[in-house]
Amino acid sequence: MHEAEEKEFIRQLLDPASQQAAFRRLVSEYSRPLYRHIRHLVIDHDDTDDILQNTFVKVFRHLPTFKGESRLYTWMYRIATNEAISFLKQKSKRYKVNSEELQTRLVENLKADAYFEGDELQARLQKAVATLPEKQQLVFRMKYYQELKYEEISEILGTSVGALKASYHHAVKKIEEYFNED
Amino acid sequence: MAGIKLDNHPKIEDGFSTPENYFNEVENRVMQRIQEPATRVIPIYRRTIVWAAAAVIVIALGIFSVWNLKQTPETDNVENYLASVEFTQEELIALLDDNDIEQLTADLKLDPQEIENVLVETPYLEQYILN
Repeated sequence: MHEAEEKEFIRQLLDPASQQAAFRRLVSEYSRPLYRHIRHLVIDHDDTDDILQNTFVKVFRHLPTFKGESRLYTWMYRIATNEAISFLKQKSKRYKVNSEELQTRLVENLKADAYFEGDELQARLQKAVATLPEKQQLVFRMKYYQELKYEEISEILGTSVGALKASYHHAVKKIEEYFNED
Repeated sequence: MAGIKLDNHPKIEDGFSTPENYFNEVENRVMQRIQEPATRVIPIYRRTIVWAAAAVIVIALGIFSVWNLKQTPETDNVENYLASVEFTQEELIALLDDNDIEQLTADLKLDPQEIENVLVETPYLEQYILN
């Protein structure tokens, strides 16, 4: 969406007369990419479903406070990321494990997950990614799986492009070592 | 699976799937949820009743502390305690200073025969004299 187009869209989102239709369009356009983003963080479909809905509700409630300092989708991605990370922190606390151990546990159950249709290689890559430190995992998933540009990831995470490139490079090296251990 | 180079390897997809018609359904569910009134969450530190309860507890503790400090043992209790405990002569003498002894001497009218009896009966008398 171009900047001018986005400005008009935001106006429609804030106008009570056009809000419902505009918001439905927003949900329709962004539910797939946001679902994917959240699912890469929390792995499980049902948890992703909850967080996705909560994200959109939060977006709706906070629309009047959106100042347009970033793009709309960047702002929504940030909300989705924070919701997912909060959820994972609560889950870590509940199971009394750290974030890396939790990720490993979540991925261990993937093969039995009704909403995972990946083959052996895909499952193995998920396990390899789950062994990475939290931030590296996030960067890898956004770059490799979601194919976001470094500039987009930088806007969402508030990390410099240089740091992201380094993080991704290290993540790839570790994953390749993981496969070479076989 | 050894020897994978991710940059050269065809893209390995995530393998995630969703229930049939999921995205249409989630759209409807979200639109339904945004019609519901928001539940107002008041942080605990903003609740007046919490501050009021905290203030009552602090005041109660303060009153208790002041009341506790003002409690002094009543004289009767002290005397009863002293009467119930057996003190040795040495312990009593240790508690007396020069003024107390002068006062005792003035108040005490001793019979010479009594003095002689005490001198004979008290063992290790020289210890008291030397100390």
